[in-house]
Amino acid sequence: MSPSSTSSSEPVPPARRGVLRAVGVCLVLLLAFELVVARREAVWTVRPRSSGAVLDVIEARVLSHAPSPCVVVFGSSRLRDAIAPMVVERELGLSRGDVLNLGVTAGTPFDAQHLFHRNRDILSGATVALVGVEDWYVNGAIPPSARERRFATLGQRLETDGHVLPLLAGWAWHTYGAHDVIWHWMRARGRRGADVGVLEDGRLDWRLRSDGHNDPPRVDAERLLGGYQFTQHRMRRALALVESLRRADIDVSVVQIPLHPEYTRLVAEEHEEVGTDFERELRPIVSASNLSPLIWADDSAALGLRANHFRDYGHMTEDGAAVLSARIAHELGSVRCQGD
Amino acid sequence: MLFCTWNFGLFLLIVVGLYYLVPRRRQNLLLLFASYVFYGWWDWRFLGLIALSTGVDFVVAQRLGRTEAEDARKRLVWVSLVVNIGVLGFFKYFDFFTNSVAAGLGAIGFEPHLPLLEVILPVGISFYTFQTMAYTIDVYRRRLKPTNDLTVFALYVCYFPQLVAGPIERADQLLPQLSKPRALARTDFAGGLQLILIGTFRKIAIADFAASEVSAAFAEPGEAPGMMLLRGVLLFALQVYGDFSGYSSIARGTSRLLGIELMRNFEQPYLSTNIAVFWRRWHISLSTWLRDYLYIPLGGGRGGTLRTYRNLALTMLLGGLWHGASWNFVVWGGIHGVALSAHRLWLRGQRPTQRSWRIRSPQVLAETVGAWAATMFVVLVAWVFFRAPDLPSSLSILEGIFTLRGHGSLRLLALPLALGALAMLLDVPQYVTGEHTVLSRLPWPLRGCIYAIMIVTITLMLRDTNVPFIYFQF
Repeated sequence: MSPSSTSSSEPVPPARRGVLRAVGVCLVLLLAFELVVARREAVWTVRPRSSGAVLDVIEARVLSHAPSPCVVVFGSSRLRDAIAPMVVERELGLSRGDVLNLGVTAGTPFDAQHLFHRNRDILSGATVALVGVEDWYVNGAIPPSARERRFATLGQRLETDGHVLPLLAGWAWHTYGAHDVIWHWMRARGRRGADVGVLEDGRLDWRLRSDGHNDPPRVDAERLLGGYQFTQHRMRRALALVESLRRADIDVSVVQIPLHPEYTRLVAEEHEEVGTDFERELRPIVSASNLSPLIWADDSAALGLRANHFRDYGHMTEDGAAVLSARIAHELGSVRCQGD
Repeated sequence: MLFCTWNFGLFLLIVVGLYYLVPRRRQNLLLLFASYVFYGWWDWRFLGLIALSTGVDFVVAQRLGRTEAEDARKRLVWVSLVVNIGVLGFFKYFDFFTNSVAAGLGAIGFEPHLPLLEVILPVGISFYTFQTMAYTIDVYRRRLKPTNDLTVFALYVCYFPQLVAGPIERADQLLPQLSKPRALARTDFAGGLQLILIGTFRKIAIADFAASEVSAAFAEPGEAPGMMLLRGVLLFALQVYGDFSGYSSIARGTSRLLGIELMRNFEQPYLSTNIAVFWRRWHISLSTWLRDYLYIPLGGGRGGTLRTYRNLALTMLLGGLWHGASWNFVVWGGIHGVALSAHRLWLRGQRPTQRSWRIRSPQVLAETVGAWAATMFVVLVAWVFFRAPDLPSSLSILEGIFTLRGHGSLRLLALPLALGALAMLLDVPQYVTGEHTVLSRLPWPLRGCIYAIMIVTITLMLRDTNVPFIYFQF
């Protein structure tokens, strides 16, 4: 430590002239950038495997090939990977395209609502909907997805507890709204990336990791439930979705996919509050549905699922999806399609 | 409430707007209220600690101002020290010392069950307790007259731009500014916004970008290749600098919007050519605090060579411990203490000075680069202990780097080099001109373009989940 004094308290000379002109140039450039982003929808979809583009991918790869589905699955990636449409179709004696899995990476009831309303002409013909619910929906620390920043109306942004300001900022300033989509595109050096395909069993092939590495359940539990702040907005939307589906005369079953036993143990032991809040918020949603709920988060062993049926804490392999899809078909019993 | 969040942006907009609307005699009351809201947003329960520290030091200083007897004055200053260090020790160090004692007893065969508090650390406690202690000590030393205005003093303790991570302001700098009304000055406003912009850029574009890569590199220190670990250490050096200097710049800019000048906390430390100069340029408000209130009272450079080295080492060890209740921080401080002592020994009484970076001859350049590299070597080795979770991990990282463990491409160093170059783009002009608002020197069209590029870059690189400032945890 040197005893010599520093000149650290010296005031900094004030900004020099031309401030307003410099600010003017800055604003003009920012406005130009903003106009480019706001007017080009392609900003969101330039990379197919991105959070902002996933709904467009589902519409192009799944919905457009099934003009009159009977069973529709809404939910997150857990449902996307757990329910194999072709297995359910086979078990129920349905035709190809009668079961649609619209599960979305980090999907929330917002995505389901959006898909349902945007594709009402196709989806309102369904007779059964499986609506996925997740424990992390009650965690307000999880930020809104790129889809919410892209599609949410002003009213929806205002009712998103704890994230109103960033969502409003994204509504008023598209550059911010689309920031992570543009950033990922830039980090990929402008490359479009791989397209999204459909697996042989009808599930969407959306595996972002190709190296086979997955985080241990503890990391996922912390990512999804850490920094817990209770929020209701996702569960409110789930309830609104179920009510919309019921108004469209679609039978609804609420689904919680079985999870890796290690993950459920961690949630029970280290995130007990989340489980309690989630179960309380789930009750009105289950009450609004009219088919038996399939709440199986803790039931993987009872359902005959083994550790190798899970790719990670909650995503299933092809074998796991086959086991669970057959069970779901069994629970549904029989499904009557419109026109039968 | 964190800087770089929409909440803070809205808060600042409201506070600055009201600040220039209310009568000037009400400005301090408004700032005091805003500061308590700012702090209470994080956890209102700990406002009581700030109130305690404020009350004790205000009363003690008032009494010191009226007391001439030395014994009574000493007793009064001890009251302040005991309360402030007591609060700091209770919240920050109780569990650390309890665990250390338990581990020590465990090593000799006892297995004591000592109680732990397991309380969360009140944010900013290390900063505001040091600031209030400095005030009382200055009054005790008769370098400062105590203020009679409780509002001004309370604001000095909890002034929101620098409350949670400094700069640790001196009373003789801040109190006079808080005691007089402030008017809106356009030049201050522009300078303030520029400092906020530069600080946010350092935080988002450099520190937060490096943060995720650092976490990946440090995740499995025993397994990672040496080159990967070196990348992690280099990136952490950039992260901690971008994070803390960015915070300090935002704090100064915010304060300047309110017409109050805070001290500079960083002066391009990574351009230092010796360790003594590094400490004159890194976290200046802490290093000068430690110098004035610890090193010099211990005897400083007086009393012989050995005592000087002892004082240096003790100051740096305690400086390390100030950062956190962990042996890693003690080792970090110890490394700097040893380096400062070794450098002092090397100089044999000469005053340490910064070598010029002006290239006069190849030999001078080589000497300067060599001195810089030696300084950075010490700084980087010390950062390993600062960042790693424990001592075995730190040693494993160093082993991995020095033995060049495993395979690793030199291309892994591309990111730290790129981010380092970005940091230098900001630092070198500031170093040459001595101005933190050096962008103001540029022609206005170029300045406008740079502002726009910085704003777009910050916007695109913002994360959905905020990365907390590293120094908030201290």
